Amino acid sequence: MSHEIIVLSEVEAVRTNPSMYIGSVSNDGVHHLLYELIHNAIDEAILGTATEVTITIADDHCEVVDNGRGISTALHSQLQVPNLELVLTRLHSGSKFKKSNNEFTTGLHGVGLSCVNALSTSLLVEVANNDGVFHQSYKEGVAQSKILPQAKPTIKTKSGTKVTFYPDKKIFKEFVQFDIDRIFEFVEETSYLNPSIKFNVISKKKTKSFESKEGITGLLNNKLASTQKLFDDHLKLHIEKEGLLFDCVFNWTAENETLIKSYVNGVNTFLGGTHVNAFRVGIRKALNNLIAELFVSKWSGEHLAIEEALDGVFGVINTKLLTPHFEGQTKTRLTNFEIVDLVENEVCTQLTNYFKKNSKQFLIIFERLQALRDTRANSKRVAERILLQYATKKINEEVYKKQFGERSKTWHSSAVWITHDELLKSHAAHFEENKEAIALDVCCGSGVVGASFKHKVKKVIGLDLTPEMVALSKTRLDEVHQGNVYNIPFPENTFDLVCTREVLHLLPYPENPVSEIFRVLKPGAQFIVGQILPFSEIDSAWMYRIFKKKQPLIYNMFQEEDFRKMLLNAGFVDLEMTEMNVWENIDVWINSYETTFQHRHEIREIYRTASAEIKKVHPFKILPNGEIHDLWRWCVFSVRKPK
Amino acid sequence: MEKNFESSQTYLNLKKAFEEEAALYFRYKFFLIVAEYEGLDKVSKVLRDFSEGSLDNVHGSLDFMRHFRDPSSNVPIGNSEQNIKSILQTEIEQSSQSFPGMAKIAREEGFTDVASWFDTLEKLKRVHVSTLKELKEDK
Repeated sequence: MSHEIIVLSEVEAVRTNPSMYIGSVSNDGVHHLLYELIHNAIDEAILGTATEVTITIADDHCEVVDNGRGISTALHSQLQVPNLELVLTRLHSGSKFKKSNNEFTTGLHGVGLSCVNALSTSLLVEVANNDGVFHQSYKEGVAQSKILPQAKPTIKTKSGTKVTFYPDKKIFKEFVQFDIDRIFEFVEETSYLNPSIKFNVISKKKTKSFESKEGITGLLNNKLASTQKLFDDHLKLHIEKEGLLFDCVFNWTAENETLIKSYVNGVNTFLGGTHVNAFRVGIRKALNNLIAELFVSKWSGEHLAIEEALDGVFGVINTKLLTPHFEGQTKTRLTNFEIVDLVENEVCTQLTNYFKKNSKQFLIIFERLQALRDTRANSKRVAERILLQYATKKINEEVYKKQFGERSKTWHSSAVWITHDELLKSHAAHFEENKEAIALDVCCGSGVVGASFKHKVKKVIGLDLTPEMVALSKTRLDEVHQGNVYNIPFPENTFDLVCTREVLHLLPYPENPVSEIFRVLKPGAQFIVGQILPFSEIDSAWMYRIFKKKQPLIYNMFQEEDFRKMLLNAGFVDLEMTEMNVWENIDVWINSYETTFQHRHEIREIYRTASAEIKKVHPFKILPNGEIHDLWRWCVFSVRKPK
Repeated sequence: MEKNFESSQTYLNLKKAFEEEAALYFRYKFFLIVAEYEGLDKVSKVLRDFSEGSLDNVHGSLDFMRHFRDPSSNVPIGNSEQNIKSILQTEIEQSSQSFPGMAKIAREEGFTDVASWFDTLEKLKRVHVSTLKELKEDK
């Protein structure tokens, strides 16, 4: 009887406080249950007994079958309970918890099958092992019968384990159904990390097998599919020492970004951690040493900064550790400090030796680094000009021209909001059709805002400071002028409508351009302006930091009250406002000319460490792959010049 | 009138905002412990939320000053090498002058327990100094 009491208490412990065991009870938690089962199957493969894992996804349940040894149904020698029951009901009872020195088990939480069982309304297990084929069923972690022989085995192989589980919707309240695309992505990634296993994923929507013979090289090739690489053959590093297995494959690309996918014992550490940082520092050290040794006369200035050394590097790091430690509940950042020196020094030594043997390749890297230094010097000058403008209170047109000239190259793909159809319509919705009206789109960019009014007015004229943007908007608007919003090149009482969007926050003393807009409008004419505003006073300082790091030209983080006052103080009347929330992909938004790599890193940290107070008022999400999506509160104001 | 940012009142105000918010952060943390002891969960929650949020406020002021200098050490904020120099300067100053001086005054004024407290800080700071120096040499 005594063991039953223990069993009950462990199941209850998991059910009472599930987040402690699986991270969260959100949809992430549900998917972690499935990943736990897949990792169990992979452990069988690592032991050399399984070669194939099949995952069948239905709406409310999942089934995972492997062709491994089949969980033992024999009695545990000390506890006198069948091993199958032990792994299904006791935490930390699987064979993965008996580690030898060369055995790295996979899995995020290491809580095993018992946790999946405890958090399922129903769980069915079938095992084929040396003693026969058996099955058992559970409800909410409690066995509904003894282990019974399976009359009609459904496992087709000689041995194996099949687990079917129904996540408990009383615990996972958000759960509606499994996210098939997400599972496919996970299995595909997992297949690269476990090249000896064939994975089959079956669902109503699609069915696919994943089998990667190339391992992480295949994953890197996949990531590099649309990217120009610098070297035909990837660089490979391997470390196997002191309870650590570190494999890395990487290459330099023509891109100006760094992409390092990293895994620890099969878990995607998308926030990196000590393994990734040691790799980065190791590369930086190696390149600095090589420059000092081989090209000292051609290199002037400081040592390479980390972002210079890593610029354009795409790589995959697969780490295995006997006892990995992760930060926080999401467990996506490795914190094993003891590996830092080892990895750093090994990466540095191996890379230095490689480039000494392949000096032509290092010359290519060196020339790239020299060019990068020049570019950085230029962008530093741009940043200095922004600071100068800031100190002297003078608008420096060149700063805006330079920045938006650069951004015009990829303007429409640089953020979701720019071409968001519903958002554009929400601006046009404020205006009643008037086929005689002449409209002015101020700081028109590519002209999409003005163009959204075209069907309602006679003519839309654009005004923008940047020659590249003028050229872009000419394809959409009736005519476009180059000019400054502080001094609009039109006489007073000219327009029936002026529109603009997400501009005034970039301008010091925004009341001046607003007065200019007032001046050029006819009496009774309308000004329609869209602006991202904080949800409340609580998130405004937090948003300010994010926006200022993204865009150094931010001069105002308006709050709704300030914005209303600014419009009314300019003399406008009849203020109306509509709101629309739009999800923005932050990774896309910050992948921008004016956002330094350090600022990109800092922005991600600000989201990651947002306080509970912020989260309460400002929705944003960090996806399992690390992408950040932020909900932006768009306010569209309509005001009129008095008649 | 145009004015250099570093010599402006605005810069001094940013420094003040940084120092006051930084102090407030630790006051929240301290008061939180009291509220938890008193079992006042609502108070604890507010203090915890405020303390988390005030870190952003502290760093927000530093964001502006980083291009010029660290408000505590007057050394520019930059990469880690520079930043280590910056905190090293503060820790050296604390261990060699501030805390020994404070301990001396406390002894003279008869507050020997406080003097002993300053002694422990001085010693801790000496360890910090040697750790930072090692880090500096390591780079």
